[in-house]
Amino acid sequence: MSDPDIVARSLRDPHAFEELVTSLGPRVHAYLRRRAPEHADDLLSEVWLAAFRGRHQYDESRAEVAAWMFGIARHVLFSHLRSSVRESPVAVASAAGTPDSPGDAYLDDWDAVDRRLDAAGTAHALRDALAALPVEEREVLLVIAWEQLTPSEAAAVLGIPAGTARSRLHRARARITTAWNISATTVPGGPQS
Amino acid sequence: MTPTDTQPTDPWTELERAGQVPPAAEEALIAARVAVRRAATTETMRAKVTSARRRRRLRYAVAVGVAASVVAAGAVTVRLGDREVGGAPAAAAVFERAAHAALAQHDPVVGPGQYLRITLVQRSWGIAGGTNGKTLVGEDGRPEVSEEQYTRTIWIPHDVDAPWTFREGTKVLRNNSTDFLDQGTPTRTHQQPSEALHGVGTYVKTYDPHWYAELPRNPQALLAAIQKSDHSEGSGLAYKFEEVYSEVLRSGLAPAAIRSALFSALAATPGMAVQQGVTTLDGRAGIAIGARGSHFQMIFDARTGQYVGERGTDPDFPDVPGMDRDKTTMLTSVTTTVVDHAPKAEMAR
Repeated sequence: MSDPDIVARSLRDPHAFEELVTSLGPRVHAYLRRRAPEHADDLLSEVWLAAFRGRHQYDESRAEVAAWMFGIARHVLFSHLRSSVRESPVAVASAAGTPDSPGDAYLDDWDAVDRRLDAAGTAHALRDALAALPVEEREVLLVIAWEQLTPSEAAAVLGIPAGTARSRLHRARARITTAWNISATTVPGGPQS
Repeated sequence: MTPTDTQPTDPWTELERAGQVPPAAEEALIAARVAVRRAATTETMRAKVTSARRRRRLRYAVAVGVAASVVAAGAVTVRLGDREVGGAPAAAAVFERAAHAALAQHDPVVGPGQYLRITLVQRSWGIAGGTNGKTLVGEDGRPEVSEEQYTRTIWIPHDVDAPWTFREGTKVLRNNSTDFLDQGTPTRTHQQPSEALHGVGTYVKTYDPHWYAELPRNPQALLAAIQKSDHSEGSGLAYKFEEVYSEVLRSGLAPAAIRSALFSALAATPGMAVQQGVTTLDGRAGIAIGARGSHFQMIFDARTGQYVGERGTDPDFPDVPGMDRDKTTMLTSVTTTVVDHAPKAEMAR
């Protein structure tokens, strides 16, 4: 039975939804762990409860179930980040509102991403290139690279048109490729240095 | 910082490696399942009182939906050459015609010293910033959206295992609001192994020329093989159509026999919807087909039947002057040809 079929069946048999926790739970946990490692376990249950309660709104024509789940996980994650900003003034630097929408801050999880890159010993060239990306391009790139989503799925997760997601991905890839190639030709030892 | 143990060959492998995390502890997954189970039990108990009324509403909605789809299918008539095909077989007829048209196209022959040149052009509408479906509006009252054209050209040498040449860039065609002046990205040419296409945003198999030689030519076996390769057996039709089958076509590498078999298989796939009167990227008349209810379609030349590209629509996209009534937000074309030269890679700057 496909994932959309499981969601559809869960409308009549709510317990059927549990199958999705088994099949998609590890991927959702990995998404949370990459961005909020200390809270991933707790956030995971929040995500699945939110998905269960909102499953009547799932629209197969808009997104695959996995993409829909990541969209919910992102919403839960950002709610958690907003709470962290309110509780900790130090975290304010991580919340970047857009100039036109100061009341609807576009939260940047770069701090968590950077810690992840640091822990992984990521090459400086890549780390610097990622830091230099516009936040909306970086988010598309990472959700595709790390969560193994397609551009269209990334669009569904981020609530943007598919064409926008593809465009941001193209730009991010071009910037990363250029930075990597520059590093390879100008830095002794290559991008690893 | 712990140095990497091996020399990274490309940024995408490095990026994927950086994202690796330990698997979730079983306790966390159990806790999530228990949370869902409790919520499901609570809902079941509450629903017993109203379940009879809900079943009656579902049956009515399903009956109406079936009737509507029958009406919709019966209303579509497609003109293919000198004949008209109507009703549910219209999509199958378009795919069958495309299968024949594909076979009539000869696979390009790349001789020593020559290159297979594949050009992907994508014209799309994008929004500035914006999250969760909210499009920013400039002080001029116009949605901050822009129309752009992305072009990617690949030159594949006669020896497909030698480095490929890539050229790609984005040109902004129109900015809708003076508050958002998108700049696009400069066009750059670089040379890299074919694996440079893997990892982020592409399905590597479809860019591996050797993979196509192993695929079965039987239509149904081909679909199964592609789905297995992409682990999409359990996915819905809309996903497979947009992300799996179209990726094969989008690459420009699929031989005529594979394209023909793919179209033949899709001709036998239920759940497709046809739309006439679509315009291709270069202004030709086209016929579009997509999974019913999806906003993604393959486009076929109305005159020749050949596959030309794909289209995406978004009914929720902001109103922009000049946009078609379907709100087409993405239109692509893929062309292939054999050339004698490939450009030199630029010096990095």
